[in-house]
Amino acid sequence: MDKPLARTARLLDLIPFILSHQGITIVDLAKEFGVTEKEILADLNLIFMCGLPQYTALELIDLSFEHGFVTVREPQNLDKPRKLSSEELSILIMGLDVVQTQIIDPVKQQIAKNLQTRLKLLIESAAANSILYADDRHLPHIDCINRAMQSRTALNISYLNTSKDEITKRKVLPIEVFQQGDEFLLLTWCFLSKANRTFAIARILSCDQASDALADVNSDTDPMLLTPERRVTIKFQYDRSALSFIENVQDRVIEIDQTEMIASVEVWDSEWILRNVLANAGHIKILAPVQFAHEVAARAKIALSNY
Amino acid sequence: MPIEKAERLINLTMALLAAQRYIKKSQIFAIVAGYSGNAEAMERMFERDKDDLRNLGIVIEVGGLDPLFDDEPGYRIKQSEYALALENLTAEELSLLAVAAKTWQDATFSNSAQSALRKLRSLGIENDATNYVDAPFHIKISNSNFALLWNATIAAQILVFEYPDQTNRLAEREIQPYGIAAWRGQWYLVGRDVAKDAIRVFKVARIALGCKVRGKVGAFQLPIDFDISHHLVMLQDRAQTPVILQVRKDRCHGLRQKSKIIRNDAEWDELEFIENNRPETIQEILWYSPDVIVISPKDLKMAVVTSLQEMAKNG
Repeated sequence: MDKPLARTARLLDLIPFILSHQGITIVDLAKEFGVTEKEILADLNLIFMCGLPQYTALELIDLSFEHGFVTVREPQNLDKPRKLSSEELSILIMGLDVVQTQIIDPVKQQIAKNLQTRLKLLIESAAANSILYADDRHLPHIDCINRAMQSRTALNISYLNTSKDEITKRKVLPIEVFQQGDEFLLLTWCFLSKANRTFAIARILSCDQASDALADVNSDTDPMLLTPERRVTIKFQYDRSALSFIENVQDRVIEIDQTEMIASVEVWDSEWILRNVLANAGHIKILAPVQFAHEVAARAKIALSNY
Repeated sequence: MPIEKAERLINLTMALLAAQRYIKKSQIFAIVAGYSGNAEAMERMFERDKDDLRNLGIVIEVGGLDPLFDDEPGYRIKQSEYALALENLTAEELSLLAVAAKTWQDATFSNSAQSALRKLRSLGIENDATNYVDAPFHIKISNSNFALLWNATIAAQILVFEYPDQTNRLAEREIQPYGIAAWRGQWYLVGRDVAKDAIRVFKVARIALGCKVRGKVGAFQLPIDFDISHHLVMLQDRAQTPVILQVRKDRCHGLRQKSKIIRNDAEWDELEFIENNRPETIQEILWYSPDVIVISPKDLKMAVVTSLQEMAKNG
């Protein structure tokens, strides 16, 4: 959207917003619309000049914004917010799908469903019924995590490290829960690592709000911090069945030939990549380093000896 | 002094919203502040302004002043077409919509989500902060094709992109996008492949960068009976199978989380769980090799052993 058009959209949205937030400060208004105070002042000055044909004092939009507080006295016919665009409606419809995956209360579920039906009636395109967010995984401990984020309190968690196949206990300050790829992740400040750490929520086995003060930083140190760099580059050939694996490690791919289906990935944790190769058995063949290929084969042979 | 374009567009919107009947172009030029210059210049200005307002989603109706005699069209904006119509929205519903919008924070659609939320908050309804406080999680999408795929789907616009074929070579596909869906965080585009004249499902992550739209908005009709969930195999009910495994003591914590221990000895625990996704189950068992042994079912055991033999051979 070009600048004058984006500004027109903002001006049209400003009036009903101020009407429902009479006395709002210029600072808050600028923050709400994501522009500078200077831009908001210029907008308000411009709105002041707009009105209905004849453009006498009676037909102009009337607002006051002296002393840093904004009030609309006469919005003329721009008192209502603009209708939601197709993009806005569609993302709200899908957002309600997302919310429903985590609501347990059936009454609230129904409210969300009814609301979604109402929004679908507003969308002009038939595509209202062709967007869908589905997930059958209910996030464990999500209420506890969200409560801790709101109250800015720390959490004591026990966490399953699947590469090492071990459970560790950590104290973390939760920052954000997000979904990236197929995982739900929790970004935290980790008191053990003394750094930001991201945890897969599905692998948080227990979670309680810490009763002690935030300043009471755990004096333990993450053993990972004491470990020297163990960066490993693995080159392998893959087939179509391992495409999902390639997509999941996209950030770590340093070289890829999609025609020959050969990739090199750089990883910090050789145990993690070794287990991934085992999990994709028959679809990933290690080309280098050779000792890594031997390690995978040796582990497969031990596993076979169990049968 | 010429007035700013934004000011003219606001004045035009207000004049057209106030019109009880269609108003002619000549009337608009005469009464709306901001139109100046010669007739041709004003004409061009008005055409651009109409396009701009339509780009903002404002519906400008075109109609005749007198269906029998007048040949010059008139224009107006209906208040019912302009304003957000979500009557009787409760505070609880507003809070729920706010939460729905917040799921897109930091994602491709964060601006649209914020703009939607602002419009909803302009309805003058108090939020019910006690019921829904924040989104359960935020969706992060780094795929640069995503917004284009989404908007083309909503606008029924044809998409052209490259996608790996059976031999993993990129081949150009022309698609009428029928729907877009997420399943367990993976995004899928469902559409009619024009060349194959058949509905196909595309994994969004595999669509090559540089996807384009071709042709106009509203280029095709979505089949009336189209339901995206019918095209996604992962949403269909799958068979549930009990699985029995032996896992080494204090190992395989991930498998233990979803199982119950049915027997144990000094070295091994016997676990049971119900699985409904065979490829995922095989992967998880292989992940924990050699600390796990499949006891039953037999076909799962065979699949795991075959995979391990393959792996042992490659060393």
